[in-house]
Amino acid sequence: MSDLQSAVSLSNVSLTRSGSRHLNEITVDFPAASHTVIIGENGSGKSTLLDVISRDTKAGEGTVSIFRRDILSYTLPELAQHRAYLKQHQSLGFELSVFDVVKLGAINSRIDRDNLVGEVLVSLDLENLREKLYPNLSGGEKQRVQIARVLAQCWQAENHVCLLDEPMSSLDIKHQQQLIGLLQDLTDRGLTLISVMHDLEVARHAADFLLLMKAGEICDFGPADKVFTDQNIQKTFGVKWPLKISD
Amino acid sequence: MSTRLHNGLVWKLSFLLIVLMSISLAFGASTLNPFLAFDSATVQADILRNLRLPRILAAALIGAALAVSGVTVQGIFRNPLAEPALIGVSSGAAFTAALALLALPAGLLWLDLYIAAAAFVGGVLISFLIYSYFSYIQVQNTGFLLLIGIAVNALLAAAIGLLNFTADSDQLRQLFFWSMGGFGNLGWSAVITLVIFLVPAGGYLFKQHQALNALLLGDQEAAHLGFNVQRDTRVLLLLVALIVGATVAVAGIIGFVGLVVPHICRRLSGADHQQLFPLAALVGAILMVLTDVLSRVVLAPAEIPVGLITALLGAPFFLWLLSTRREMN
Repeated sequence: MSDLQSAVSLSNVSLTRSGSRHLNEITVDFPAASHTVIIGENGSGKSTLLDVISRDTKAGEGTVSIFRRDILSYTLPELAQHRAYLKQHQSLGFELSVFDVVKLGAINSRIDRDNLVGEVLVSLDLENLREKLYPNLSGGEKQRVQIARVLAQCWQAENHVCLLDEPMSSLDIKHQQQLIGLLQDLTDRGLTLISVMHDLEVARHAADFLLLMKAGEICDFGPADKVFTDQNIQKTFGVKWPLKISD
Repeated sequence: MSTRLHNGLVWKLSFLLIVLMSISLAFGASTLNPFLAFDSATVQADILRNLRLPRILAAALIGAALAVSGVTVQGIFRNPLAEPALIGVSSGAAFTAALALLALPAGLLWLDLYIAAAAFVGGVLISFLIYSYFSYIQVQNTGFLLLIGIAVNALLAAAIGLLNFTADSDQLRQLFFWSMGGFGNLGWSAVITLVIFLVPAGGYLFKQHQALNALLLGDQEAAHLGFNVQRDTRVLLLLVALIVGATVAVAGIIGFVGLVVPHICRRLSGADHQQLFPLAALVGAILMVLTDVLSRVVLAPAEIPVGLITALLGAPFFLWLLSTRREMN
């Protein structure tokens, strides 16, 4: 991948908490304007890796860079101009409409916020819900609203890194397909996406690159069609692939 | 709510406030024609200009301040049940005011001023100590700040109880009325004091509406949007402590306004703080002006403490709100 420009670079990143090694000497360059999907078994360090890239968690050792600049050298407002992050569990303290929740994502936008939010809502099939109150939505609708909020922060795409932790959870197959298409459009426009997914088939379809993790280490990383092999999946998860469920 | 609708509502509420303030000039120990205020050198004009007008202005300012503080505290904690008293400012003020009342000799010149100053310092100091302890235990969850506030409030309530135990009957009566809140003695000096504290602090608070909006998503999400959550929370709490400390020092403890008004306003405008702040200020001012009229009229010529009326009306209203609001879940 030396011919691809990297948007996010990790060099010898390790993290130990309460005596347990969560990340172990991770060195990886995430290519710009592409979608890298991280997969691995539970507790393998996928979400921790996103936390370290987002600066929610400081790496114990090693360095993390976004657009060739050490992440620790960014001020918070500067970082918000380059990085958006959807964490797994979201809640709101008060009743807000769908429109207002998504608008919070565009809080730093220099272009007309109402127009931007309108565009994002249309692209995620949320236009008909714009005036609905967030607490009244179904789980899948809430998830789409939160995705919309995070995408509103990086809608200009270029020079942005978007981290999505399990974006497909709670989504039905129609909206999964729609989201994959939207994420593809955004990477075409220059957005760098790094996401964590559990559904291997969805991950394979969504990813330009795959990063396989096990016990805080990288098993393999590369173009999705090369990395997604039966042997790699078996090595990462310790089960036979494709799955065969006997009755 | 659209900007046009919001602006229309702000204009209507502003008009209503001015009308209510003008009408409330008429009420008191005796009913007076408000237009007599324009006469020169009559006792009625003097009463209207130097007793009722400053009192009504102070009531409006205090109502606005308590409501805006309530909006801020609920926004910081993302908790619709939070109110300014939970950060210890009211109990801190009550404790130091009681301490001053008992320690200083009765009949001392400017005794009321010393008590007000002690209340202000105590309110701000206790809030600062609560926040310092929260920082010291290094817990990221602001919910812990509420728990610390509850514990400190209980401690101070016990301490105030002990002070009451040692007070004589005159001191007890003074403490009682002070803890119930009231506008009876407020003149132009109180209005000027309130303006000096509340206008700059309130203006700065309003400038923080984006940070409060971001905090609705949670501390981490606000940080992802570029906000320094710890610094912003600290600044916001300091401003609330200053604002509430000033109101408590001037008028004693007035509960429920900071809890109930934000709920009414969220129903009107939604949770966007840019719209919520001006609405809360106006609704808080209107409610306090009305409450002040009630306090003067119901048992005239005697006055009922304002804090009693806000609790008597506010508590049932809040119970009704609890039964109708989903966000309390």
